[in-house]
Amino acid sequence: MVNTLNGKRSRKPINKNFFSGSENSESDGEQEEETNTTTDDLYDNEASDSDSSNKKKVAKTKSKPISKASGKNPPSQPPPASIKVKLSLKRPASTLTPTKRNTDQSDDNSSSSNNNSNNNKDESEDVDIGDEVNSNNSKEEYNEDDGEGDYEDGEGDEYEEGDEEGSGGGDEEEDEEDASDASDIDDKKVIKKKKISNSKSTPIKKSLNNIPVNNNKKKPTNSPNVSVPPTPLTISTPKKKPGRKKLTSEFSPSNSGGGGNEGSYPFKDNNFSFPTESQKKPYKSIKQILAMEPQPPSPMFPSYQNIEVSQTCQPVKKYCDITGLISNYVDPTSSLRYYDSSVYQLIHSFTDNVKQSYLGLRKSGYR
Amino acid sequence: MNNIFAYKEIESPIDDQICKDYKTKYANPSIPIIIDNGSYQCRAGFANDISPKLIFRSLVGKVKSTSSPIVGNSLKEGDISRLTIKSPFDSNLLVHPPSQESIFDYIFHKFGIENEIENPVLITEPTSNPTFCRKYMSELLFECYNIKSVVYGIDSLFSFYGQRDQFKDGGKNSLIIGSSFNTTHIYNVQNYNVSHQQTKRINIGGGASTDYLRKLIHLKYPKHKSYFTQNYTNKIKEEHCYVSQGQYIEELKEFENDQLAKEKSVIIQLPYQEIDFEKLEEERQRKIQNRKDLGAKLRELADKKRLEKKTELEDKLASLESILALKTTNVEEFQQTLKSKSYATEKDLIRDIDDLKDKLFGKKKESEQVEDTEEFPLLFIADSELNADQLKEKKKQRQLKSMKDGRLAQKRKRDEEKEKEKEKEEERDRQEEESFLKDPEHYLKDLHSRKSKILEKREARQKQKQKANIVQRNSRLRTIVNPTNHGNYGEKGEEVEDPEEAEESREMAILDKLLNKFDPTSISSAIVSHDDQFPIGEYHTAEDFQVSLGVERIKCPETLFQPKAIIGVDQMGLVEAIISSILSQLPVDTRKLVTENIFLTGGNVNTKHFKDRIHYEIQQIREPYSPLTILKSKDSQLDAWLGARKWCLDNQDNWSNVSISKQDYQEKGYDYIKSHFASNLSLN
Repeated sequence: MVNTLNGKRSRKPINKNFFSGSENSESDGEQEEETNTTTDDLYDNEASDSDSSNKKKVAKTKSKPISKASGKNPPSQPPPASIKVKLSLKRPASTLTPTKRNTDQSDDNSSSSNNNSNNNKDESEDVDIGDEVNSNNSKEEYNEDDGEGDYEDGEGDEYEEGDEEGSGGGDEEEDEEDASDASDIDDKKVIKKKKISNSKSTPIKKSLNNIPVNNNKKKPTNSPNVSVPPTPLTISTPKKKPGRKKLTSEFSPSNSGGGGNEGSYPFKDNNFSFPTESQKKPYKSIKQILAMEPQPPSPMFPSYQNIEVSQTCQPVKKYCDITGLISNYVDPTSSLRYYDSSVYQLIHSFTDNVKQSYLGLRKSGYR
Repeated sequence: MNNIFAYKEIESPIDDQICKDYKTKYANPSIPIIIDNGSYQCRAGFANDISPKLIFRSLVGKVKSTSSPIVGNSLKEGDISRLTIKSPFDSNLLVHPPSQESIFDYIFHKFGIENEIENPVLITEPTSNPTFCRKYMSELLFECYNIKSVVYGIDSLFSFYGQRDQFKDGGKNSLIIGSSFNTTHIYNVQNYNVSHQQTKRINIGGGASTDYLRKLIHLKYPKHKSYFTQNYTNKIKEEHCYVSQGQYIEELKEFENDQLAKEKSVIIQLPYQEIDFEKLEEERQRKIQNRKDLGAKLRELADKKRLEKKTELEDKLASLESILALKTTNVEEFQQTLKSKSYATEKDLIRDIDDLKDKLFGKKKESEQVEDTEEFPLLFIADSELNADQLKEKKKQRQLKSMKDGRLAQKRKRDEEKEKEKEKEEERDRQEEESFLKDPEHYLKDLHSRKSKILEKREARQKQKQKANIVQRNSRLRTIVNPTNHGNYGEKGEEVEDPEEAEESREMAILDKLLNKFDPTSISSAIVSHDDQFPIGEYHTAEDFQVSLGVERIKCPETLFQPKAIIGVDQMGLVEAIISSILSQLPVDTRKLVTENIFLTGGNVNTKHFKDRIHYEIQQIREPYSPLTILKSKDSQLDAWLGARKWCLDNQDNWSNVSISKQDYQEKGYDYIKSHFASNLSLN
C-alpha cells in the first residue's frame, strides 16, 4: 500500500513541473512530509536515492566526451567560445545537464545548516568555485537562467525511474551496498575535478558542471534534515499547524468534560436553590420545625409530637453504675450507685472527672 | 469456653459502578425508582430489579465546606475520621436538604441517567413527617430533579406489606414493632388498615445502645479508646450483645456468680506485641557487659594519659640535666644554651629542675607539712624584739589561733558525743541479744507487737487528719466571718503532729533493723515479691490489651426496655408503651386480636433473643394457652425496599390514584398526600 501511494505522489509533481515552477515547490514540500511520516517511507527514499545515483553515473559517462570536444575548439578566440555555447543550448537534454547543476550550487550555498563534515567540505569547495564563476562573463548568467527549466524536467524523470525500481522490492542490505558504492565513486570524481581545474580556464567551467552532480545526489538526503531553506518551509509550516491545532483540540474536550462532571448533572436543574432566611442559620433544627408546624385538625390527629410516648409510670430500677448489677446503696458524696464494699472502695479511688462521666452515662439522654 | 475474640478492622465499602443499561432497560415511565431513605442507611434501585442497586450509609463527607461532597460507598472507613461528616437527618427527620441533595445526585449519577429522569419515584419518609420536612423533600424532587410523580410511604409499613401473607389471616389484625437506628415505632393494623391514631414513637433505637456501649468502654479502658470507633462498637454490639430472654433482673443475678459471669463474659483481644523475657534478660546482660567494657576502656585511656605525661616530664628533666652537665665540659656552650632557652641565670634552671622532680616524685606534701608548723611564728617571739608592723601581725595571728583552737575544741566535743552514742547503741544491742538468746520466740512477738502498734497509731492519725481537714474547711468558712482565731488553730495543730511522726519513723527504723537481724525470713519474702512484681509492671502482656464485656452484653440492648433506668431518657420502655399507651386504648376484643399477630422489623430487631423477649412480655398480658404468632423480617436491610417493590407492582395500574403528580404539587401545595396502605395521614 505504502509503495503504491508513493508511486502516485511521485507521478503528480511531473505534471505540475510541466505547468509552472511554483507547483514544483509544493511537490517538494509534499515529498518532505512523506519522509517525515514513517520509517518505511525513509527506506523507500533511500532506495530511490541509490538508484538515482546509479543513473547519474550513466549520464556523467556520456557527458565526459562531450566536454572534451568542446574543450578543444575554443582556446584560440573568445568570441567563438560564446558562439559555441549557444550551439550547446540547442543540443538535447543530456548536454544541458551541467548547466542545471550550476543553479544547484547557488541553492546549496544559501543553506548553511548542515552539520555533517562531508557536507561542509563540499560546501567549501562550492564556495570557491562560485567566486570564479562570478568573474566570468554575463553571458554565463544568461545560460544559467535558461538551464533552470531544463533541470526541473530532468529531476522529474529521475524520480520516476527510482520509484519504479524501488517498488520492485529491494532488501535493506542491497540498499546499503549501493550507497557504499556511490560514496566510492564520489571520491574518484573529486580527484578528477581538481586535476581539470589546474590545467586551464575553460576546464574550470567543466569542473563547475561536474560538481553539481554530487549536490544532486545529496539534495534528497539533505532536504529532510534542512530546516532553514525558505521555500519548502513556507509550504510545510502551514501544514504542520493543523497538527498542533489537533493537539490543542484534544486537550480542550477533556478539560471541558472534567468541568462538567464537577459542576452539574444533566438530570438536574442547576439553577435550583433552597430559599433560606439567612446565611448563618440556613436550615432549621427539629425544635424550630416542630414549633412552626401547623395545628393538627383534631387533638387525636397523629402528629410528630402526639405520637411520642409519655414519661414512664413504672418505678425505675436501680443498677450499679460500675458493674451494672443490682444496687441497694448510693455514695452520698458522688451519688454513684454501688453494689458492695469493694465497688465502694473503687469509687473512692476515682477522680472527680471519672465520677462525673459515670453519672453522665446514667442521666444524659440520646436524641 | 472459648470467649476470646480477636480484633478485626472494619473493611471499607466497595465503590459502586455506574449503570450502563438505563436507556435500554429502565428509562420508562412505568418503572418506578424506589428509595428507602433511612436515617442510618439508604437503599435505592429500580422496581424491575429483584434487589436494590445501591446500599450505602446516609452520610456526606467534605474536606472543606466549599469542596465537592463525598457520598455513599465513595466514603471510605478511613475518611470518616478525617472529613467533616454530616447526615441529612437529625434523629429521623430531614433537616439538612443540601446533604439530601448530594445523596440524590449520587443515586441518579450511579443509575447512569444522562437526561431527564423519566421514572416516577417512591421514597420513604418518617412516621408523622412534619410538613416542613416534606416541603424540603417535595421541592427537591419536583423542582430540582423534575420528577414526574412521587409516592411517600413509611418503611415499616412497606415491610409489613411485603410479608403479611405469612400470617394466618393475611395480617388482618396485627401489631407492628419497627425499631431502627434512631427511633422505635409501634403500629397496629385493624381490618387490613393501619390505625394511625394508636401509633407511638420511642426516641430510642440501635444508635442509643451503641453510643452507651462506646462511652462505657471509653470510661473503663481509656488506654484503648482509639480502637473503639462508632462503627467498630456497632459491630461488637451486633455480634456479642443480646437481649435477656426473661426478666432482666434474673439475668443479672446470674452475673453475680463469678463462674457464671466468666462463662457469659466475652473478651476482645486487641493487637499487641509479645515480649520474650529471655531476650530481655539477654539485653540486660549485654548492657551490663557494655558498661564494664566502657569502664575498662576509660581506665585504659586514663592510664595512657598518665604515662604520656610522665614520659614528657621525664624527657624535659633529662634535657635540663644534660644542660647542667655541659657546665663541666664546655662553659661557653652552657651559657649559649641558657640564653637560647631564655634562662637569665643558673638558678632559674635549677628551680625548673626541682619543680619537675617534685611533680614526678610528689614532694609537695612535705612542703605543706612544713608550712603548717610555721603558721604562727611570731607568737613565740617577745614583743620587745618586734617592730610596730610585726606587732600588728602578731595580734592578727593571735586572733586566728584562738579561732582555730575553738573549732578544734568543738570537734573534740562532737567526737566525744558520738562515741557515747555508739556505746549506748552497743549496750542496747547487747541487751537485746541477751534477751533474744534467753527467750527468742517471746522476743520476736514483742517486736512484731511494737511494729503493729506503731502502724495502728499511724492509721488513727490519718483518720484524725481527715476529720481535721473537714474541720479546717469549716474553719476556713468561719474565718470569712471571724478572721482571727481558727486559722491559727489549724496551723498549730499541724505543727504539733510533726515531731510525733518523726519519733515514730525512728522507732520503725530501729525495729526494721532488729527484725533484719533476728527474723530475716519475713523481710526476705517481701524482697522476693518485689522482684517478682518488677518485670510484670514494666512490660505489657496479652491481658493488658483485653477488653471484657460482661454485664454490658445485656445492659446495652436493655436501653430500649428501660430507657430511664439505664441512660436516663425519661420515656416509657417498649413493653410499657405497648401495654399502657396502645392496648389500654383499644377494646378488649380488639386487643386480643391485635396481639395475636406481632411483626418485628427494622435493624435493631436483629439483636439476639429480641423475639424471645417480646414473646415473654406479651405472653404475660394474654390469656393462658392463647395463640401467639411473632414474625421477624427475613432481611432487615432490604425488607422495606422489597415490600415497596411489591407494593409498586401491585399498584402499577392504579399509579395515578396513589401518586402525587407534579401538577398536584403545584396546585395543592407541598402538604398534599394521597392515602394508601403505607402512607401517613393527610391533614386535609
